Amino acid sequence: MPVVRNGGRRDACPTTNSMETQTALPTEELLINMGPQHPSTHGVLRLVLTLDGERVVEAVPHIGYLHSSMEKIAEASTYQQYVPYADRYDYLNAMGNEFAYVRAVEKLCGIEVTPRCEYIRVIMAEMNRIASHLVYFGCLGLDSGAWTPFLYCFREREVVLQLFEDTSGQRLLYHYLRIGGLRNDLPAHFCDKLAEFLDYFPDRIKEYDDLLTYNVIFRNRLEGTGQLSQELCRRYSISGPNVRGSGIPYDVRRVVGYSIYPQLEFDIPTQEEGDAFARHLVRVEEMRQSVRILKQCLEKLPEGEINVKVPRKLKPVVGEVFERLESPRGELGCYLVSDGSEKPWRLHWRAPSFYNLQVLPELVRGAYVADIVIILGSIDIVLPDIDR
Amino acid sequence: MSEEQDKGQKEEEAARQVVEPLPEQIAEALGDRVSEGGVLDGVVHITVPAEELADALRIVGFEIENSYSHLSDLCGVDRADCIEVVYHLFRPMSDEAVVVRVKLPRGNPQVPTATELWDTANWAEREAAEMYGVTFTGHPDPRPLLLPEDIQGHPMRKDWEYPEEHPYLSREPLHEDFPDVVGRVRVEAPPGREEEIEE
Repeated sequence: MPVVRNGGRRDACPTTNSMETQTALPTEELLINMGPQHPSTHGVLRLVLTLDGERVVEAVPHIGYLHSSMEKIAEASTYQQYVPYADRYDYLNAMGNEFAYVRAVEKLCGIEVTPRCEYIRVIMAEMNRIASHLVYFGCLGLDSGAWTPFLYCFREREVVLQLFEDTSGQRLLYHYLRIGGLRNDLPAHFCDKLAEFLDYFPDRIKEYDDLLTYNVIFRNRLEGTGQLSQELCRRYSISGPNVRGSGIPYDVRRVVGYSIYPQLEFDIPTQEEGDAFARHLVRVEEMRQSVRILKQCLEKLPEGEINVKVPRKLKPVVGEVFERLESPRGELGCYLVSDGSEKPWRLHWRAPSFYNLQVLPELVRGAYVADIVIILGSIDIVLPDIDR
Repeated sequence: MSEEQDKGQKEEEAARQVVEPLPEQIAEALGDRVSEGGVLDGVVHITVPAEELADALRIVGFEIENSYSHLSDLCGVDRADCIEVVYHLFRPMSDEAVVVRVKLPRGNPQVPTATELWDTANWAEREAAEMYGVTFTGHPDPRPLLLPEDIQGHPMRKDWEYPEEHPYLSREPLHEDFPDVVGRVRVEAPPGREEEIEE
């Protein structure tokens, strides 16, 4: 649906005008800590802010509070043992992380998985994308002062999580994907339940839009806030909905065309404006595209085996692989180096939140303190993904 | 499977990976700056000496036609005989990749920063610096990023040893029924830092 921009109201609450307009009284700059225990920093992020009145002069992010040595653990565990760890660092996209890791290992070992397995993996990844964007949607509502949408979003997320639980036995950290296949096949009622969900979910997205997206207060907070130019995107290697909100149609699903994505029809939603509201619209539209992908997957889902035979002692050849996937937060990369033994020699995650958060000081410079929360919410970070 | 068979199989598999020569465009632009190079599975791999790195990254990333200007990732790798820094470059909106790597001595690894070309490199270099002890000369903000201030050494190096003593963790069992599970958090302050804790 084309969105008419509510431009006229912007003058009432400017967010990015220059410092020169408020030089009437000489004041001292103020140094304050935001976080790490702050409800709107989505975890434990600490920002050291230099303030001039209500305006941000400089923001310095401090991270590392959740550093859990995920990469060092990989060097001490076998390839199969590491799969559940992959869930744990970007917990909102657990299926996607497993997907990236098992794809990297399979590429290294030359394992081809069955068509049914590929379809189920994509179904899981897209369901996880919907669940993740619902958390984003609800939390951005919370950040901007709207409590109700959060509860509605979690009502639908519950349905997705219930389907995950029926399939894998877990609600958040699944350990469902295995090297060369899956833990088990889909339960009998899965396809019917998912089809039912896909039927009514687009109406629910409209409900959220009516509640939040088209709310005039919400739009006044978001429009023009956190301008991310294409130049900044290039300099900071921004990816995911953030870069698509700035008019660059960069989506790894299309660019790399991994798994069965080339056989599926879907659009890459983009917005030109590059502000927080543009990024918000991109994410909402992405949920609709995920519904489209899931419907096609259910239609085409082939019968057959889900697992291929993989040796118990998995020893890939000496070599390395860099596998990229599109996570809900952007370009997720798994760099895996093998020395020919049972354990990875080196594993490095190209975590999308890690690279996307770097641009925050540029976005909040000159903005109101209250808008930091909006800008941070609109970048959509997950802190364990950053600290790993 | 015996070790010999295992080794034989590995060599056979390694031989199957065909390394093709560098594409002309890159080979010409870089000239003799490349110490090793080849194409493996469609990915261009280049190894350059540390003093040529800044030039090589600028040429591959910005100066050649259709340059590889998307720095996707930067990380360190401990190769036992040396420390490597690996740069994953991609053409924008494409899957064509160049992997630039630089091999550094374990003793004092130094490499020029890439932050002038990409701001992306800022945090990635800080992470590689603290994890592997690589010095990125000219880095605008060389503070540690993820690790606590009081950590000794560079933990992602293969020869890093887990500390026997930790200021905040003891070797006492967590519960008397489970004597093997150790790691109780110390309530008392570590020696020399009593005042700090009291504050």
